Amino acid sequence: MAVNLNQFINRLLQTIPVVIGVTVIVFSLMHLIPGDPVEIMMGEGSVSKGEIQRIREEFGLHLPLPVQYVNFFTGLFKGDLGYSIFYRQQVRDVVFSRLPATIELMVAAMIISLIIALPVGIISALRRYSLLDKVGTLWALLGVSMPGFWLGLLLIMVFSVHWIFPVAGRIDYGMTPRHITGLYLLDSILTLNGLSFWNALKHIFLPAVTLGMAMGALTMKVVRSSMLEVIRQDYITFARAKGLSRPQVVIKHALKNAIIPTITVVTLNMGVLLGGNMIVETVFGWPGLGSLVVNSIYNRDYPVVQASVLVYAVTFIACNLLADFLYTILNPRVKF
Amino acid sequence: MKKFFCLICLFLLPVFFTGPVTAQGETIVVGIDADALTLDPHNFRHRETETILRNIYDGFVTRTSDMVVIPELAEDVRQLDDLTWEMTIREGVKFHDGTPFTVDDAVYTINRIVREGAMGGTTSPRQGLLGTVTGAEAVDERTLRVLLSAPMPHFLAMLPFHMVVPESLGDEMVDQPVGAGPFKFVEWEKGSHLVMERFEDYYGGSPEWPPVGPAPAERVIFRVIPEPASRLAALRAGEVDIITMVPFDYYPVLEEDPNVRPVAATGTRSFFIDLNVNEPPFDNVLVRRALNYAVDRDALIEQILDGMGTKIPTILSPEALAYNDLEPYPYDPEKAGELLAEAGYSPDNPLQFTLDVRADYRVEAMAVAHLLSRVGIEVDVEVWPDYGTLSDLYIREGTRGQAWFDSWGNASLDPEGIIPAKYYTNIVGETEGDGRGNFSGYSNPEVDELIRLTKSTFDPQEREEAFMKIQEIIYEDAPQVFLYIPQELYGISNRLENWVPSPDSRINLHRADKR
Repeated sequence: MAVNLNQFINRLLQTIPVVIGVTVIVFSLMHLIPGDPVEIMMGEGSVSKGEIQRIREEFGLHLPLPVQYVNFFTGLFKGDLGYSIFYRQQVRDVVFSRLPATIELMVAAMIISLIIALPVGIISALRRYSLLDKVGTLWALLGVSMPGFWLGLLLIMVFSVHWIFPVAGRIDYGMTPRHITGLYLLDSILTLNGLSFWNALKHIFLPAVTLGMAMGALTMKVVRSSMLEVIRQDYITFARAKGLSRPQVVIKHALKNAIIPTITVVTLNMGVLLGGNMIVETVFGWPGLGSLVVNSIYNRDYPVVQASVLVYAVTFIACNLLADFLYTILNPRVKF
Repeated sequence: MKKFFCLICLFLLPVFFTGPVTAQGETIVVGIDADALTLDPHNFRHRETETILRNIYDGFVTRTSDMVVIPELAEDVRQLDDLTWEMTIREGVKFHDGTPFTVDDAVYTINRIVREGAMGGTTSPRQGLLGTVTGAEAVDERTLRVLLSAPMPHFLAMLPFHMVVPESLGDEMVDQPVGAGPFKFVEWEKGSHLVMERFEDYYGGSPEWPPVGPAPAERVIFRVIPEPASRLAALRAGEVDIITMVPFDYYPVLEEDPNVRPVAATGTRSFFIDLNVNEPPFDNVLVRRALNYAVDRDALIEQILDGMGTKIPTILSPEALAYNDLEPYPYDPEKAGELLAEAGYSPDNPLQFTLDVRADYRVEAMAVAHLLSRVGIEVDVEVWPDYGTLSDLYIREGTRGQAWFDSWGNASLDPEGIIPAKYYTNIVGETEGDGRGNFSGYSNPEVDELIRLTKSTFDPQEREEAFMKIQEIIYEDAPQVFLYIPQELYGISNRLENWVPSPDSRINLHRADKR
């Protein structure tokens, strides 16, 4: 393994100014957006200025902005992400209660995209210019071009209004499996609850397809081009010449090498999915972090937005680190 | 690979053949645009939270869908003097945990709302909704006195906003709400749904609003679906029975679908243009009236609200108490021209002014500007970022602009919530109390006197007459261009019975049923 511990720690330390920079930018931008959270909450005009001022002081909104930022930042080291203006509870409780839904959706989107992208990418490469290859290319183009909200609504119109997939939510009432991880599909499997599993699956299917579409299209292209590159290599010709069967050559030799850039792209895309899920979660009423952030921006709930963006930033950076790390493991010639 | 695909397909097969996801049996599902913020009925200022929790908690009094205030947990509410109201609580009422509702719970409820730090160290944000109330005390087993620091003639209009809680739970009600309403809390999955079930021992609700008894519906689920198109799809798919906050352009879709229908209620937010009556050009009443004749309200409502709005003659909603049924200013460009000519304007010297508006209403303001341009009035629309900035400017002479397109919400539909705020003389730029919304700088001693009368009189008839008179005066003085009140559109399933929307946006499901 070509991982140098010193370099790893260096990389970790480099992320700190990035995270700080992200929080400063988000903090500043949120306060630049017009609209006061207390006025929004209380309804302008019908509430006296004195009352609004009292509530502003309760949330520390009357303090100078740099002081508010420093309070937020120092709070982080104590695990205190602030107090939500709208929910009137600890931000960490609000944010972390929504995280499992988002994680589950992201993982499902990734799995669905891989289930389609891998086979299609491989076969497209092996049978270049065939019908499947052309269909795959078209799908790739549509996948990255179609906006998430449009695709989501289209799927709802076709599959929910006129068929059997639910429009919104994670699970029907009375079907929630016993809580272990907070990921309903996993918890259903762990508690052997078949009904919950099917119900959760029905709910997650359309949003996961919507979210995974763009990523799947991109992954397919990466798989296809890496496969194309690998199968042209001499060792592949040699393996065929040795008499190995096609599947053996493709999976044991070609795919193992072609998968490296794919894993990198997928890992990097996990961070990108975080942004896409805001739209998908809103369209499908998925109660995750994305819809929480959208709602909190409308309500100018600064502490919730700041904490959520911090979670996103840390996740994105972690995914980047993980991608680099995985690459060095899979390709021993590359040092971390 | 083929075997793998076959396995996946087999695994997923049942998914495609299980039945459609519809609300089951006697469960009423409401698709709302935003989740409740909290389960604590005193710790929010948020319409959706109130709508949801008001099915779990009853109040001292409530409002029917015609906005009439009727007794609920309080059998009788009466005023003893300027600073004291008295309530007699209803007997035989149980909370959801089986404990009886007593006068101590009623006293605790009032004090929790109005006293500083009474909610686990913090003050309830609903304190202002009880005006000048300072606290309550028990008189006997069934009577409590509510004490005020200043007269509050609209006390009864504000009382429906407040929900009664049991003293025994204290602040634990945040996690496990216990009320005395028709439905008891079951589960809340934040951001997703909130479930409540029929409370079999419900005392039945207000005797003045039949039918009285436990709720017909076995279960109510509030489902959070932020995207309007998704809410509509859920209604059409039969997943929900009521949807709220429906955009006006969905009306035709709701009408055409045989399984659903649109229903509307007049809202509680009046739209108008505040005119600076102390500086040119609007220091001349002829010009102000001319503007009222020059705006084609029907066109505005038709184009901006898709027909879902009501013209208003002054500032009150037609559903409000003491609404004066004056004829709204008609669209009469000729009359407007005559008045402008009398004021010294002409085609060579047209009326010109700047119309301020905040970003949220810029489309409406631009529509008004366009309509006015058709009758020769030149309007320059200036868009501002938010309400706060404009209210700071317009509350004071010297910084006040010429005209401001804005709105004022009056959820209680009592004129106390809007008339004193907008018309009481406010020379010093007071931002609280009466005159806090007087952005036109209007000052009329007769109106001030009438407003003082409405606050001091015991006689509801006298109070109502005073408000009617005020409306006549402001109609003539026209410190605003009076516009409209938008309706609120809902979509409901044709299987739903005994439910109509109300102007205060409450979704009261006590009597609702499904075929």
